Amino acid sequence: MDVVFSAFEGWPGIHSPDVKDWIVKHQIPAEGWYVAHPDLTVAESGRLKRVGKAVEEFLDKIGN
Amino acid sequence: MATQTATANTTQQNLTVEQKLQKLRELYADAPEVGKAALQNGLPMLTKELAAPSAAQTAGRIGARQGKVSELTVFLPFVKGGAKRLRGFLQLLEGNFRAADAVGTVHDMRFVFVDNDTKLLFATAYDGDFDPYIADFAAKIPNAMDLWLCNFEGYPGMRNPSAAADWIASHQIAAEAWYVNSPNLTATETRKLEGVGKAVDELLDKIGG
Repeated sequence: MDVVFSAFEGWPGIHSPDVKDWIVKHQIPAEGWYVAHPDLTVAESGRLKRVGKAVEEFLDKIGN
Repeated sequence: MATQTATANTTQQNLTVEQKLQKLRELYADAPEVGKAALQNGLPMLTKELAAPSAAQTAGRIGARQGKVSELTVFLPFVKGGAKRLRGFLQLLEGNFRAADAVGTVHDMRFVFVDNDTKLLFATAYDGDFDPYIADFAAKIPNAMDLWLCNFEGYPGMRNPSAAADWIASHQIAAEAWYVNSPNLTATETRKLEGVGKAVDELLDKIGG
């Protein structure tokens, strides 16, 4: 975070207690926001990839 | 606002990790203290990142791509009354973008009004390359596209897909960097995996029950 965000004026550092205030000060909320899979977190997506792979391997095995 | 064409980051490919680290040290020689400290403290992770093969690709005509997923970022100039009209439209939609669902290649979209409602920042993640993506919108949801894009100066209409693609590209700014957590998962494949996951959960419930 600090390697990237130190490029910006006033960046207080990720460990600073002021970091969230700095981000909020520069944030503009979106008027519209769409997500194709709104109920899928990154962690759940990772789990589904493993489940999908396991199911494919299982189907391959019983298909042979 | 000036736009730029996406270019593959080919100039870094022949550098060794040590050469890349040296370049970084030079770039950060006059950085704020927090950045200099981060460079020093973050060396183990940075070294791994710099040693990895390039994950940066282009989305064809313009934009960055990782794996199967591309980015599109545009600043669009509102026509008179366009900001009020689009804001009202988006508020009435209440987040129900069924047309985007119908296209099937859109991962996300954001609409941000900037510069005192004179411009819209639109950013999206999508599957594939720029030109086929726009052509797909023109074929599947021309009305939905015209409804929101008619609010911007110079928009030629989705019934003229080639001109519409040129118009979008002319307002696009390619991202310098682009990260996707699951770069090889299209929106369609993710939907399929959700179905597989649900079926497996039901199966396990039945076996356990």
